[in-house]
Amino acid sequence: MAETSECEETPVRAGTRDAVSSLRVPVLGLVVPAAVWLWVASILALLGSLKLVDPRFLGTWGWLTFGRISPAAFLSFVYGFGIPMGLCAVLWAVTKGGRLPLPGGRWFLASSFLWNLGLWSGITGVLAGESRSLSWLGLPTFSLPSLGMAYLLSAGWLVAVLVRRWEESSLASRFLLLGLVWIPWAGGAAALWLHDPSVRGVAIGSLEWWFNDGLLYAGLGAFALGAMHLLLPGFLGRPASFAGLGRWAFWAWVLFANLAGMAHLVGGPFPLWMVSTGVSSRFLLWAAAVAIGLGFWAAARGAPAEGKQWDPGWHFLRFGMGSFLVAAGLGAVLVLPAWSRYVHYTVLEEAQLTLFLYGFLGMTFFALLYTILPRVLGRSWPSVGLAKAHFLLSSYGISFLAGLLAVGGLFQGVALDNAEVPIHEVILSLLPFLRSAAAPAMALLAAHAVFGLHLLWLLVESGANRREGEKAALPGVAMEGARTP
Amino acid sequence: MTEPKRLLLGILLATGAGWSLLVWMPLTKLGPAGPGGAPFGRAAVGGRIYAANGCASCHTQVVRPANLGSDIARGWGARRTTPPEYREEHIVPLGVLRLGPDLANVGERRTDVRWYYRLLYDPRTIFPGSLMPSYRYLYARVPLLGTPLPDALPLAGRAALAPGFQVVPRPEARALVAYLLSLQRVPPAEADQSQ
Amino acid sequence: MNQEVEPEKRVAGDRPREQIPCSFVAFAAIVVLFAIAYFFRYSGGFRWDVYDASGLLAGLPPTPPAHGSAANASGGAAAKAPAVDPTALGRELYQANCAACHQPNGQGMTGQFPPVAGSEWVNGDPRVLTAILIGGLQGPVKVSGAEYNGMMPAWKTVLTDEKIAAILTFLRQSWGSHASAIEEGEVKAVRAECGGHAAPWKVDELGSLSGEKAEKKGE
Repeated sequence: MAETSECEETPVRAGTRDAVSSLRVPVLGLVVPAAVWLWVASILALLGSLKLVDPRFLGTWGWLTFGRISPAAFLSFVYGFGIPMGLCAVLWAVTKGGRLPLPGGRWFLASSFLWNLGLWSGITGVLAGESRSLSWLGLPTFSLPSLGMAYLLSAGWLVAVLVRRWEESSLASRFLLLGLVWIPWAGGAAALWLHDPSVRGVAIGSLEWWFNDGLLYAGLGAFALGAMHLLLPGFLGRPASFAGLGRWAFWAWVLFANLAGMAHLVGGPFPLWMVSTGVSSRFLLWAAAVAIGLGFWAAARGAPAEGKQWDPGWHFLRFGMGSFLVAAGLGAVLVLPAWSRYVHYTVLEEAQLTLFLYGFLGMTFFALLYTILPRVLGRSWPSVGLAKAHFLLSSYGISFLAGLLAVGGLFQGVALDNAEVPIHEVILSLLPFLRSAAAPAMALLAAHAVFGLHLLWLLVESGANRREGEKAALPGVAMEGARTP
Repeated sequence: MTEPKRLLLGILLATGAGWSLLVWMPLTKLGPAGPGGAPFGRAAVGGRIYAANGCASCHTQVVRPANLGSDIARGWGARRTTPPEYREEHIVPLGVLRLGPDLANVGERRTDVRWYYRLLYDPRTIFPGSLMPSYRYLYARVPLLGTPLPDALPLAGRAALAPGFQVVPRPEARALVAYLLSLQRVPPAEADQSQ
Repeated sequence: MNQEVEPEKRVAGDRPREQIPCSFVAFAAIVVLFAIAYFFRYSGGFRWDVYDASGLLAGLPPTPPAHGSAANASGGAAAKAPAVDPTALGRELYQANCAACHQPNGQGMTGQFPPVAGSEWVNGDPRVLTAILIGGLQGPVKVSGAEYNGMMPAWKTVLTDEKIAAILTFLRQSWGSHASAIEEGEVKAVRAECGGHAAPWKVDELGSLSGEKAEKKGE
């Protein structure tokens, strides 16, 4: 440890310019496709919610049937946007915010290429009807080798660099490491097992839910929490409070995120102890989440930063943490059997998922982008108005979407519990909520469109700027520059 | 041992613990093998169609016990579903959301093949105002030569076709319906007894 | 804007000793204790063949729809004071724990699970019946004139004496049977006597249960 920290200390200030330019290509290689996937996901989600308004809309085309576009929307959000953003956060962490050079930028480009290739084939496969209906494991077989190779290519490298430049007792590095390691471990195990013909029966169900919640909490959730801890010192000038508590929360997160998925199986064909493990884990995760949230809010209150300028990153981060706490609490309370009896399999659970995915993961990753892109590109975001519009549209969109689904889910659950009401009438009573949810879905799409335009504007401006300034605009040249001392 | 190594080890072990408790042990303890067997032939193909078209987005295949919901009171099953009833299946769509009825035992409740064909072609002829999409792409429009084929759908009103054509289910629709008919989650022992 | 505060500066004591708020400690303690209690309350004895739980937190089954005045009355009683009426508690526990094999109507499954409704074992010696429930039963057994060869798990780790008594009383007084009720004390006595019997009972062992008792008393 000693000799590594010595050799890493020296170039902190020396190679800033080179360091930033070595970061540019990998970060853009992750961000630009991710923005495209964000678009794809929101368009698919909007189509899905329009189909709930009228199921005959685009009805005769098999590729766009509700059962295919709705998983495709979630999958493209998680794998197209979430995971690249997580890797982006790790890139930012291992270069200490662009102060250290990043070795091997080319690998990231190759990995990003492979990843997007695999994902395009995968999402197309889902739309074409090649999926096995396994929630987050739903990508078809032929897309898996490319995705796995891409992930290992960049994550293996990143783990090595992260460990080499380890920062003692940094919560950000811990959470990022958890995300980096959990995804290939569990994803690889799950993918291999699903293709073993001797694996069948209910074990497939428990495999599916072990992976689902693990991916959300231990994979992407850990990435987003790492990004939060990474960004906090930049906004407040100090890290999150209660570091010791945070370490406890981290270990609780490591241990119980793996077990939380079973909570979905309340009443399902599984032994009681498995379900109880899941329910208890959700509660322990809630306690850990509140501990992390406490560190965040205490730090935020202790240092009333900001002030002069409307900082988009800070607003996104705060909204993300708020959604995180609400989603973690709902995730625990709703699986209690006394509640689960009413709300299980209703859209209230979708509301919780929406809060977690779009509210927590999405907003935290936007905070990351708003903060790091200006520094990577050497140019600030061109318009505060567009950033504000993005924030307002997405925060209202997410709040209303989750609110409508939550209230609708309560009605649905109470009606479902009454055996006298036929299921057909239950769904009819839910329709007003589902139909009005198309409006916030539209707002979300608009928010992501605004973000995409803003990003495009930033890229064009910085490109023009660089071409004027120096001839380092070509990515290859930038990387050569990073290599030669 | 340095801190990152300790962390790495901890993460790997915790993930492994979750995997072995919740994936590996259930596989060895709760299945497979036993009487009853997996759906085969057309029903097995239909299971893949069921998964591919995302039926599990709106339908579950779980009957919860009487103290955890109205599933039994609604007649979705006589008892809660238990692991042996899923023993051999490769596709276990337990489901996430109920925008439609539970299908764990739909093959017991509805036994008319033609009812399923009509439902999948246009659910609104059976349940007006239903949210269920139409699966017309699982059907083919073929010329009518002589008398209609036995499986041709009886279409009337706005759905009626130009004269000289009929609508018949494609192999995908036939497989899907065979799968739905095969969904009778009775304990293996009872299945043996009825044969 | 510094991305990360320099490590040495942080260690040096930029961070004042922060006091964790009391409200958080209370909240975390309650949640953690609740999670632990929940896990052990609904552990189902860590068995692979126990699926159901019932109780306040697991959600009580709804009162059955009225089929007749008698059913209505007992349903109402169950809803008001389940602990007072052992038959109503027993019905609930039976549906939750036993009905998966012996069926909701107590008829069992031909060739697989013996019936409990009208069975001579259920209406016979209460001690033998209690021993079966506590310790399980394995191997060939003849019930209501038919041979069965299966394995019933032991319930001693899952059900309390009170619950076992309630289930047995319900079995002995339902579906047209009118045998004597079984008290919690009797269950306790049987459990004390043969709780150490590790393996499930065999039928011939059960036959000698009363004899064994006499021997033990003699010692």
